[in-house]
Amino acid sequence: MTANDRLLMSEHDVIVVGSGAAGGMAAYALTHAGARVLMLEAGRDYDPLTETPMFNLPSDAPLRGEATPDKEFGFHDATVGGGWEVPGEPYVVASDAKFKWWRARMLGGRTNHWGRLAFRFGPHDFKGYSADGRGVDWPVTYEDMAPWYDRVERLIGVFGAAEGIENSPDSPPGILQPPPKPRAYEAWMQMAMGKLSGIPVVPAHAAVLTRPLGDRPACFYATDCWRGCAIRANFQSTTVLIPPARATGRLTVRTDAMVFKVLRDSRGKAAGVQFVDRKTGAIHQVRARAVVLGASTGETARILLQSADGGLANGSGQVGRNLMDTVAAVVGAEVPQLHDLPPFNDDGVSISHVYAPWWLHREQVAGKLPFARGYHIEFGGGRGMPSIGSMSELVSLSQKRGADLHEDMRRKFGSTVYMGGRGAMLPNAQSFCELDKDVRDRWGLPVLKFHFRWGAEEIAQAAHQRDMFHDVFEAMGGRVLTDRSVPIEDAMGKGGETNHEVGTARMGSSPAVSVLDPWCQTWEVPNLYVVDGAAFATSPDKNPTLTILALAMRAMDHLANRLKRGDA
Amino acid sequence: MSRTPDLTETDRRGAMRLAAITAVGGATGLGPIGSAHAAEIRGYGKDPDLLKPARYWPPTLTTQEREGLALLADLLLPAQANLAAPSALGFADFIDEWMSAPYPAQQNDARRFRALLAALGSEVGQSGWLGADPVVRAQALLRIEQREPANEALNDLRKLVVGAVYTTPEGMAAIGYRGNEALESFAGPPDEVLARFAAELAKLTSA
Repeated sequence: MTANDRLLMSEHDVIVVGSGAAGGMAAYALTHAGARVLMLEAGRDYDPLTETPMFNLPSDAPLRGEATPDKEFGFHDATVGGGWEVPGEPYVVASDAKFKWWRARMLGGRTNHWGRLAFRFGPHDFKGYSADGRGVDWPVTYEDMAPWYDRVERLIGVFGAAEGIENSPDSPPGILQPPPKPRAYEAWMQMAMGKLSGIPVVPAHAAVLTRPLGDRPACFYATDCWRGCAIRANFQSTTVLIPPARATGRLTVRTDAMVFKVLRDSRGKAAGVQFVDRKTGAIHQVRARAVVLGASTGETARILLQSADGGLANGSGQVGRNLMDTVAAVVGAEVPQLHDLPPFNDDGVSISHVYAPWWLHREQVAGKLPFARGYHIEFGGGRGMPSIGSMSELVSLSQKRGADLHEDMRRKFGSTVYMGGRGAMLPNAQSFCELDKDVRDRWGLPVLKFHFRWGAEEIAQAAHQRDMFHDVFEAMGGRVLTDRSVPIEDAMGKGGETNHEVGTARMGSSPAVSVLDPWCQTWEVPNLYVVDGAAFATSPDKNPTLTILALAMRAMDHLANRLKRGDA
Repeated sequence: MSRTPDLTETDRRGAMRLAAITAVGGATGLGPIGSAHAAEIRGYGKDPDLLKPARYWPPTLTTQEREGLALLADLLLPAQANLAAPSALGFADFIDEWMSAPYPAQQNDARRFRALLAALGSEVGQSGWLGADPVVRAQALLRIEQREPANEALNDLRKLVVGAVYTTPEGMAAIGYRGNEALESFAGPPDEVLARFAAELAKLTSA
């Protein structure tokens, strides 16, 4: 009997599909509650401790590490087996839509390279419909979620500060780690925006350790987080969730296992899943008392849609619907106050040390803005390690030639700054995914077709972002690099491009309009849970990963209690 | 080409990443990186060894092309007191790897840079680009800067020269980059920098 045979025949309480933020947290929470878990991950095994290129220079990589169609975020990016394209696993975008889908094929999924910004959703984010009649309410309140945010932040380690900002909740004292000091460009933006534009810039919240936590050391302020982290100072499912779940002795991990169908028994309950072995093409079945989907917003919808005619757990018709991303406009500028700085180490944690939370909530409530939901601002730029891309940009800003070019590069190094908006999106009927009628992947399985359209609210918000960022830079005498005359619809990013896609199996208070109940279990198949971004009812401006983790931990507490009662 | 990076594009990591990613496409004028379908290229693939990258494709430039481009790079970014010329910092190997890469962007660069070398050779006459008098070469370069598309290729090569030089350890030191070393704590910018910011802000608010 092979190891695979033993795995297929062994007894599991729960099958967890996916190993990223959702799947990793599900496995962590369930195994610590005593459940025997089989984790199925479509990608290969991956170990950040031995595979992360720490300290490697651009000159250590092909083409100095620049982006290629193979590694679209650069050679040293942690993503394995995917990116905007996964060979043999295509997706379709409707002819009238602009949408991109980032996928990884590795243990830990996208947590291995994610941005690590970790903001709590606020009270208004969960109950937006009640406030302004747009979108839908979540079936949970901030008060419901706060204890789970507390637990997640304690577990993964998040730096930040308490600022008392409307709809950007503070964590209770003693949970957050101290934030790092702002880098030079961040310090300048903080000073200048506060004084010249009246926009508060405060410490960001990010899942990077600035103090040791358990057996994990603090960040040593070198090597970009999106390479992964061999010292485990940032949050990755592969360093923070899966190892302790394995240590319980109750987690079995099967990689290269792409789940495509949830199986049901004669009573309609989830009985297991079918998966294709991505190496051999063989199809297998495994069984368990409950199934948890954490395969990602797109893949989870695909599995549900493939599992039954018309989609499993889809009496509401909402599986695949309500696809949302984050509204993002970016404006860059050359900032003269950052010229000719002396040399100093400004690497920091590589993630934003500061950000500007939404500061116009009251004006919005008063009806003074042409859009209903807000955005926060993230910053980029500064004196990070030179790359071909960043240096090419500096050359574009210089009129110097020959020997003078050297001096101009030195003088302007670190003087470009980018402001990136990250804004809320409301669900709309034109944004959804479905199974394509014609295209199949290399195993003959139907692939997703994406439809996507920004709504009028999002377009108005993006225009506000761009105008605001131009105004901020112009107030400080910056040389703005972005053409303000480009129609805002063209300047906005494509759907999915911020990698915040959510909403395709939303939770709600009624089975008529939602796929999941308030505990993330499907209304129609009570031992089938969805714990990834698909569960989101709306897409607030805050980055989704912290809330995915909190929702998953909360849902798995619910499932674990049911398992103990023999109720699942 | 002269356009700035495509700042309308966004990515999931925020603006800092965007700068790094889009600048390349903007710099070389080759359209968005990643537009080619993965199945159409033969590069290092979707899962290369990040710690010990292999030599994934053979160098294809002739000796004359390597020397000609290195010579051109030295003219575009001459040696300084604190930094050697591109040719002494491995530029010929860099540009050979770049122009030999199988990706569409690099293949397009290879075509354009070869045409640029040919145009420069024509400008200097029978002695050829490598054998020409330095003054003749400098004059040829000035004339090329007046002609498109050769000037566009020259500008893009200049960006690659600068990028190649300042991504070496020597170039990083010369431009003032400090970092990539393990620290006990992060101190933030020096007090003199913060004081300068305060003074600059005072100027703006009093204006």
